[in-house]
Amino acid sequence: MSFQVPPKLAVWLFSHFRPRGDVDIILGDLEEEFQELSAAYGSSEAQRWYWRQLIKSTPGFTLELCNWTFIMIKHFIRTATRSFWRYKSYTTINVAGLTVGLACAFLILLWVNDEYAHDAHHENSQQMYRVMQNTLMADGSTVTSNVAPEPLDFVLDTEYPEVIASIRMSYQQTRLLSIDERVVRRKGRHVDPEYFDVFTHPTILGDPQTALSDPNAIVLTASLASNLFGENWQTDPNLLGSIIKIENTEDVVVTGVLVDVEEQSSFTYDFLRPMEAYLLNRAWVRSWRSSNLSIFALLAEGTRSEALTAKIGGLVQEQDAESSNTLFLQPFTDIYLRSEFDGGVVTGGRIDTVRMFSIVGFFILLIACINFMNLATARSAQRMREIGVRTALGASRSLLAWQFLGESIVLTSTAFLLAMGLVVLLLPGFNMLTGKALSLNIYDGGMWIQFAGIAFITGLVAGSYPALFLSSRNAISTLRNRIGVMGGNVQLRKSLVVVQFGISMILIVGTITISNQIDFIRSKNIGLDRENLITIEREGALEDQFESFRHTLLSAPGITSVASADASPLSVGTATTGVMWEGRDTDQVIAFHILAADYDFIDVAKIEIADGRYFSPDFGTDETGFVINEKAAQAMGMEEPVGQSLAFWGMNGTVVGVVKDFHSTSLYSAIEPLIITLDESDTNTIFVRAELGQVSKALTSIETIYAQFNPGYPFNYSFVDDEFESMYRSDQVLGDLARYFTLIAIFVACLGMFGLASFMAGSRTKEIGIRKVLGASAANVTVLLSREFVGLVVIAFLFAAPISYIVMQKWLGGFAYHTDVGIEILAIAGLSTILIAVLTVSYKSLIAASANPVNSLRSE
Amino acid sequence: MDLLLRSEEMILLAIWHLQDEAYGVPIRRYLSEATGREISLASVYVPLDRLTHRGLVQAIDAPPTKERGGRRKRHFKLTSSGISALSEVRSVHDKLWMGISKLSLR
Repeated sequence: MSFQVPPKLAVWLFSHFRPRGDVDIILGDLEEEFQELSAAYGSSEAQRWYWRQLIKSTPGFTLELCNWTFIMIKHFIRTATRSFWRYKSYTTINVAGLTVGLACAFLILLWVNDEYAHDAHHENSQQMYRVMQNTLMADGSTVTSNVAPEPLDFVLDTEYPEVIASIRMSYQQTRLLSIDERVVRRKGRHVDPEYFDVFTHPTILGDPQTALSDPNAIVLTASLASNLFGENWQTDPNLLGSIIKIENTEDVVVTGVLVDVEEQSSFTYDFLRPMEAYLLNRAWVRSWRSSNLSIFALLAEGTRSEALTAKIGGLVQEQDAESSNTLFLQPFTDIYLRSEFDGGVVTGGRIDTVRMFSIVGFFILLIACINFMNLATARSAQRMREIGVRTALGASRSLLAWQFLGESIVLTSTAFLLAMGLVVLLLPGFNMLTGKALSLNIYDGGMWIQFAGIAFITGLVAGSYPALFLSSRNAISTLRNRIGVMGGNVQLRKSLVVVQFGISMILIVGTITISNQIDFIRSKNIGLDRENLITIEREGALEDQFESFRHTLLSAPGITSVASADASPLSVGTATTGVMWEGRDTDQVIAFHILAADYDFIDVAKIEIADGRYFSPDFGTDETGFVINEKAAQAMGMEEPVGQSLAFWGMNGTVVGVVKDFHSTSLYSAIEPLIITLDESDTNTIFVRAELGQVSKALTSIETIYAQFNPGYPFNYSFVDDEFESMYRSDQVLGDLARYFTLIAIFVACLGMFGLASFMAGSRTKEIGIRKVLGASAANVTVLLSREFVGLVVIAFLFAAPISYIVMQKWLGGFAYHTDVGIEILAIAGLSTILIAVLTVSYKSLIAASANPVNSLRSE
Repeated sequence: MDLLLRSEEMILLAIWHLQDEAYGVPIRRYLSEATGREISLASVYVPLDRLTHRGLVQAIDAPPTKERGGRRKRHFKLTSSGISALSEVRSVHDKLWMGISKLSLR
């Protein structure tokens, strides 16, 4: 009788997918029948029979497998829970660490997602680009700006088929809108009629295709509509077609209402007007030589923006031979996160902060994972007997590994649930801190996947090493060597502690540096007194009656002085490179900021005079005079600037005085050369200095007087110091976040060290007892136990100091005026970490050291 | 102890009938003949496993033979607790069937 061979694949499948029970027996039985059948009906019939048997039995065996898996998981959870109850402090430390770590990671993830969601609500956002412009300066530097020449729009639309549409957009301008008795001041932009084809912004009323085709049209957002037409604007049948007055002069027709601009939009506005209206009285904008508008291009799908950049790059120079400007395209989705340019190349932007916090979140989780690994392996000595017994009773290595992995999964799941609760609790505070409106949307599947993914990876990272390590022990040696087991790889554990404290120290250095820098900015003498300084718009009747308004204000209570200028001294925007002076090297290009002001401006702003005098009505000729700052004098190479003549914008005059440098833009950039001209009629901002401590009284006075002069206008004001603070708001947020996350990182790291220290003290109880019997004092023993940990922290310091120094110096480099990462900061970080470590460790050590040795030595 | 499942009861009875020849192949064949249905591998071996674990049957392994492709053979024998489990089921059955001579719709 010749034996047939059963189908190999079937045998293989069966033996691999039915791991429980004795496969050998079943296959033997099967083969026996198979041989009988092949003898009786032939081999192929038997083969088919064999396969049929396996396929038919699949459901039954699968069910059995599920059953067993379920039982196994139940068993793991039970043993895990038992061991957690048995080692309560260990469990608490791990769960607390993981919970805090996960909660931080989740908060940071919510924040990062929100940052990435910016501007993503436009359906075309992936194909939208903004035209950017690089200008080569005389000193060889390149300045990047987000505006482009107006005629480019037509060229893009007509000559480049890959451009589906190009949209011009103006700056945001504040305008006074009124209808009947309602007057509001709101911000708006001028855009092309095809705006809605490119940008996604749903309309509530009106036809987006035609809404902006008439030059007199205006499209409102819902909140503006409700301001102008009342709460029930939606039921107002005459809303479309209503006439609104702009600045009390121009009549415009409402042609549509939009939903409010998305909060996560870089381009905000309360109303839209047609581009045509903007260009009507700005003929100069229609030139290749001026760049006043943003231009956006919607590219056809599959177009490479680099290819188009290569084609349009030199367009400005083609049109204007004197120009050194080149154009390039910036992806629309990069605008929010990557808008910092250096030398014409994108260098970052908010993305740096986003990355930084992603790293911080990762670090905190890592510290929590290290705690888990260290404690689990250190504790292995305690659990060696359990492992030994299990192995001896026949638990396979993989079963043990599963058991420990199961423990870490149970721990992480608990921590995950607690972390979710913590996130819900902390979210309002976190929103307040970051100025965001983050929320946990429980229906957001993507978010859950991310959260669960993080928790899963954390559990895996934390649990896999202990699982592999603990399960690799040999049963006999674990049962026999009760004393000799040192609890795993001591070197690895030490290096992990070094990593934890190194990270903590880097975070401490970062936090101190950031808050130092913020204090530095806040307290820096910026050259003018920004306290108690109120600004209001000069508009309406104030345009003509400023003098009498000023006099009335000066006699009112709480007000010291009043002046006007054409910009806030903190944000002088107007600049020119066309200043001529005697001995100017004609190749030299220097940009001068120009600030128009009245006679009282520097008195009110408290800017100091360095040389000469400020404008004064006593001389009568100061309309042709200039006041410059020290930087301007230096830039022009003048040693005796007073009396020198300057010419620009068709004005000729002499320098009458030099003021000390003051910051006219943010501290990110250096002080620029500045020329102040005397031109009261050109000013648009009124500065009122309130008496010290009388700010509210001053505000009441201003409001009353303002209402008398300007009845049709709403009274708005702002404080210069608020404006100053707001420039550094994002740094402030950064500082606050850094501080909290650092504290959390240290807390988690200390939890781990506390756990390790208690373990060490516990496992050396006998040794301590013997030492004490032989005459060691409690202090000796404490030092003995703490020394090792402190040594690790010192090593961590040696690693962390240079890294944190380099990283933070780079961050500070973003400010033109900054502090440094001094030795003292490094020292504070190092010493405080060491102190915290000593306190953490010595608490446990002290308890161990002061125990009566009789107790520890008596029991054997 | 739980009452035997129908499948377990049938397997135990098959083992009792087959006596010394009670191993996988004859058990399955016996049940197929008795029920007139094809019995899948899983519905024999899974309950057999469970019965062995519960101590109702005893497994005796025989050395590998050539007909079996060099694989072992496992014979099964009822234990005393197997017998008592069977008689318990039987008494339950008897009680439930008591007084029913002919089954029809009332």
